[in-house]
Amino acid sequence: MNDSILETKGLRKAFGPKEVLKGLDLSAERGEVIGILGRNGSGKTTLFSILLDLTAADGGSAEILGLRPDGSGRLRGLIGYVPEKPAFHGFMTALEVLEFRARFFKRWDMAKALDLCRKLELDQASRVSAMSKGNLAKLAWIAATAHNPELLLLDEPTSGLDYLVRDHILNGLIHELTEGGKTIIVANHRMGEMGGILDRVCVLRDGAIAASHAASFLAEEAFRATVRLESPVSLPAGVVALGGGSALRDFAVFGREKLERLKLDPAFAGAEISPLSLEDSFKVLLGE
Amino acid sequence: MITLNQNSQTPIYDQIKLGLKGLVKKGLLKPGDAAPSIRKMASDLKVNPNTVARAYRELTAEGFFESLRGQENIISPRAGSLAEHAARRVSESLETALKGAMESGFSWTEVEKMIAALKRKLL
Repeated sequence: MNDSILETKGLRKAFGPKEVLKGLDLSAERGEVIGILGRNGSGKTTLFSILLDLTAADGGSAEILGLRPDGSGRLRGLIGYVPEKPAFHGFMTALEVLEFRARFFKRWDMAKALDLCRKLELDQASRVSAMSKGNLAKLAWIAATAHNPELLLLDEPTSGLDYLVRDHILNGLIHELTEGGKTIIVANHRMGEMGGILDRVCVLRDGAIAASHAASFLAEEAFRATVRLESPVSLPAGVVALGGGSALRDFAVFGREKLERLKLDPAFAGAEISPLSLEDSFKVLLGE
Repeated sequence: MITLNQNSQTPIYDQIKLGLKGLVKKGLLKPGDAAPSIRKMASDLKVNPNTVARAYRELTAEGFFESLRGQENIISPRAGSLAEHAARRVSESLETALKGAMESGFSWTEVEKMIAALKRKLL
């Protein structure tokens, strides 16, 4: 698989004195599901709006589906976007929103949109101004996928939703993946629930991609070493202290090879090794 | 139907394969039955359909699924013996682990306590 669908190089963006992106390199291949892990305010939303051609970058380049963001808006028709805070015209009904959007997207599939309304249990006649957060999220999902985009950008698609709505959205996502060929970039604070879907996790820190890991690596080769330390030790690369102030300490270890090497250190000889949960791995990656 | 352990170091696709074999061993799936479609399985487990597809591909290659075209995901007559084989491997590794426990100086009572604790954790 060497079919690049997205590539950014040295992307920079500042708002006044505040530099949000400081040379961001990101690439995605067709069919990949990439999770962007970043703290609040790390620039995920700025990245998405540059990719969507809604905000112009100050420097660097981006190429998406063979196009460059040039202010023409052509890219928007090829991308499905679920914003963090979906907003539609309050006076419209769900059906009116979908009919309104249909006029802007060449490949809009109304049958698919209505089918999704039924599957997600969204009443077409309900008015946007009266919608719950869950129903707004459903409408945003339908609006983002009804034109069968090849690239989906999802900004916190499940945050603040109840279990059932979240389930609907995740199933919708899996459905899109089953159709094949879809590339998905998703930013989520609580990446744990997405763990089984991701191919790769990219950590966004200080305005750049600080690390990129295969999801299977994090699932299969992240360990927790619990050990009683009498004196401070220097930690090799790939080993991160997880806190625990007293003699009993927890460490995260990334990579089986690193683990084997750590075990040779006499200080770690009696360490108890257990798998590090995906959620905890993400926490370490964020905090590192 | 199948429970995944997201914190396990066993890859998800392997867990899916083991899970399906387990269902055959328990008699919940029989030769000729259709296993859940890739989409259904992916939605139920909240995993990438590619992961399920990989498990299904390997199961087809192993002969657990029928390999006839248009018969994807149909449990083959050979599935039962494959499931038994997988189960035997588990009992062998359990034996190895127990031998190791004995050699490390655990008593039977301690081992039984460990097993009881594991049972509480897993069930």
